[in-house]
Amino acid sequence: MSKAGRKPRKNTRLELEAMLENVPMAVLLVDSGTNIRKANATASALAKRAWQETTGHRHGDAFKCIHSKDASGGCGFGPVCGGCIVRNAILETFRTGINQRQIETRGWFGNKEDPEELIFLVSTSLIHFPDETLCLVYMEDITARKLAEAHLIAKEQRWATTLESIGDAVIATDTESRITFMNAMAEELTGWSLGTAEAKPVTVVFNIINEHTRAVVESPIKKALEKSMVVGLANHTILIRKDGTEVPIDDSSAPIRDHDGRIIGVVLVFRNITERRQAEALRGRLAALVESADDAIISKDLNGIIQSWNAGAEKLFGYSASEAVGRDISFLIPPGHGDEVHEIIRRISMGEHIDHFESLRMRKNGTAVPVSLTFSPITDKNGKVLGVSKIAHNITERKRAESAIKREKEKLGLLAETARMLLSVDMPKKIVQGLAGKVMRYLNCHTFFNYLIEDGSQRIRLNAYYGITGAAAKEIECLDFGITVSGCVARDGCRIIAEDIPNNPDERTELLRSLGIQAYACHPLVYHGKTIGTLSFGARDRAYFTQEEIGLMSTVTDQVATAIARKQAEDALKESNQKLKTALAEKEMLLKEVYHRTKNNMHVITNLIGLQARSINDKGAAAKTHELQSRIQAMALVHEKLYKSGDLSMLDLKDYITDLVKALTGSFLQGGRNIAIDLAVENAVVSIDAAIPCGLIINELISNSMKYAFPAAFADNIAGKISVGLRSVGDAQIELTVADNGIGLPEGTDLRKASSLGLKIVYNLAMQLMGEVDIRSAPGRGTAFIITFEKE
Amino acid sequence: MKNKILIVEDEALGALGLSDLFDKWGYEVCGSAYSGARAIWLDEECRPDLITMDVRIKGEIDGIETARRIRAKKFVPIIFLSGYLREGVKEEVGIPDGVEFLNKPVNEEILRETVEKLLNNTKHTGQA
Repeated sequence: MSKAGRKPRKNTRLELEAMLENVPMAVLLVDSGTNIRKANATASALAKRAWQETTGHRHGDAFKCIHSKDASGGCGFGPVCGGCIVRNAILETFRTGINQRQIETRGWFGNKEDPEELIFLVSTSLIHFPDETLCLVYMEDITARKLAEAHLIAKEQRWATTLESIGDAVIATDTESRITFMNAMAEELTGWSLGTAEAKPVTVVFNIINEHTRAVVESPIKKALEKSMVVGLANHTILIRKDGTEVPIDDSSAPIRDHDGRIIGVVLVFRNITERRQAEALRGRLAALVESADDAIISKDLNGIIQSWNAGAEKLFGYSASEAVGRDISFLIPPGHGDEVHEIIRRISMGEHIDHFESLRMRKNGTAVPVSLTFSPITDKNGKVLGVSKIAHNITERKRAESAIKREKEKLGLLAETARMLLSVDMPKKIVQGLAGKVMRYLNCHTFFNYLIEDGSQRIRLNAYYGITGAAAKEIECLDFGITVSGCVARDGCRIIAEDIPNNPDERTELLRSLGIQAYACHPLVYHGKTIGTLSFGARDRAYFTQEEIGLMSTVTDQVATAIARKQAEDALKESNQKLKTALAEKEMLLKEVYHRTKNNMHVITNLIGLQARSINDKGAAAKTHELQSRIQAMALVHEKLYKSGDLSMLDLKDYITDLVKALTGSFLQGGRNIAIDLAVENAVVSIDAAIPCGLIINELISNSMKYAFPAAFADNIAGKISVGLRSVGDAQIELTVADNGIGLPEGTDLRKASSLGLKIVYNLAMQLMGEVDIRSAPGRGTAFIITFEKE
Repeated sequence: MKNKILIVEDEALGALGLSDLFDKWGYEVCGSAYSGARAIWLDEECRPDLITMDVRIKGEIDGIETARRIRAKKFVPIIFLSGYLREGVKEEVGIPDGVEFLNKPVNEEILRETVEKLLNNTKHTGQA
């Protein structure tokens, strides 16, 4: 080139002009008044004018600077023109002679309403021509380049922000594997700050080993550089942090290429997988649990499609996981339980849990299995229900146990009811009809017969039955001992159980065969060793009874036997009571009659004596006869009181003594004597054995007082009085007192040796009453007889 | 010396009546018992030559049993008195001799003869 330069060419000027015209920047030649003397083609294109039109104008006018329109003087006269970089660069160059280089400026050109912004680099240099000095101005249009740069910066800014904020750690290196960038997460995970790590080899900062072998893992960056491709990290990688602690990570690295595809570095992306590892471990444990559980654990989506199926489900339902997963759950649902599934899914969709819901599910072998079901919704982390998890627990055993308990309870209830019925029902027929019917239904039997042995015969009579027609019952109403099974049981008192009757050759079962009975158990009704009848149950749909059934029949039979025997005993007792009552009533009537007649006879006797007495002229004898009358009347009165009293053997002494004294004193007062009678008698109920002696004693004592206590001379001076008292002493004794205020007994009177018949009678009767007699008497001061005797 | 008679009778007036009769006929009533137990005791006390024994008396033992017990110890003639003498009572009592049975109410003359007969028999047989 220098060789060519040295070789002058004759058209140099033209060549230079052409070059000037075509350089990609506006080139102006400007004078010190900033007027353009010359402009090249690029400048004309920039000003969108022919070059001639630019010449002679100042640069702002020529390029249609919007500020050149702000003043009438044009470019250089506007309010902001003082700050114009182009103008100032030109003026400064003229003033100082110092060239300006690439000063960046921007200007607004064209239509003021819709101006175009352009960015320039302005350079100036003075050129001294012989006649004047001019300024050469270059204006390079960098608008496009500036816009591209701005875009790039914004883009980088966005990337930087993103990298800083993402959860993954990012490290970038150059092609020498030296660190050029680390984001915040990378700093946190490695323990290195970008400041200390920058330019360090990446292996220093990103130190990784295999979790199990502890061997250093080859750097993924190196691989990415070598293979020019994205490289994933091997599993089980551990990052050793700057402080020596370890973090499980996974990562990948990718080469960074420039626009032309050249590799300019590597970007390494990695993340902490501690939590993921824990979650995986947990999932693993849960899966193992689910798999090893005895219960069936199944998950399904909200459409009922099975998603998972554990070993427990295989065992419970008989389907393998491969058979079940993907199928609709409905194949497990027994007929009639379809609504259940919809209801469960509806409730689960609303987030409900369903616990211990008991139902039936079908097994592969077609049998139904009772299960307790627990349903829970499966949700995503936002709580949205994705499906249903279901745990099915086989409750066959529990159901079996429950059913056994229920049956046992029913049985006890039945027996309790039986006992209650047996106590309350009156009629043996009703007892058996109600009771045996209940037991029959409980045992799923179809018929029962109850026979009772007719008293004192060798026959049984049908008392109650069920399950055969009235006509059939009529035929077997009365059977001799030894005829049919019941006849044999009644005769022998032993239970007979006839089974598989259709194939049983025993002729005693012929009747049962004809009634369609296949199994028959006949129990004797035994009470206190005596057979009183039979109770039998028959089934038409099975040939055998279980031991439990026979046991229950036996228990009920015993109860029935007891009840019937009790009833029979009660009836017998009632009958005998009735007979006794009748006999007693007859006896009472008879006794009343006897007392009545005795009293009447005594009156007849008294009257006879009275008649006899009237014919006696001897006064003394007549008086004795009256005494006799009086004694008989005292006895007659006892009999009168007895037949009038409710109780035919006892009477009240108060009542008796009152009447007796009235009768006695009445007869004496007829004699015109004025003696007061004072009665102080308590109630005392005694038997006739005590009443008669008591009455006779009172009779004698009052007669005695009347006759002897008040002789005429003595009686003139006092008001005569006789007191009769009766009172209880303690619980067992009665004290009878007969007293007067008369003249008193003769001195030395001894009752035991008394010569008067009256006193003899008193003494002997007192002895008969096992009583004691106390006599208190003083001359002129009255007499008192106090007799104490036992009530019974 | 008067013959002694023991009266066993739970009816006081009955005993009184018998006592009056024996008194009138010249016997000594040495005691009157209203129960079997008392009769056995009085028999020991007063050593009667004859006993009149009511069959139905108060207490745990009746007149027949009382008589058996007394006669088990010694001989004494006994006249049984009863309101109603059952057939075969003689066999029932089982005492072969020295006993008589009279119905109540008793006829005074028959009683007197019976008493005398029994007392004479005792003298003649020498039993005492």
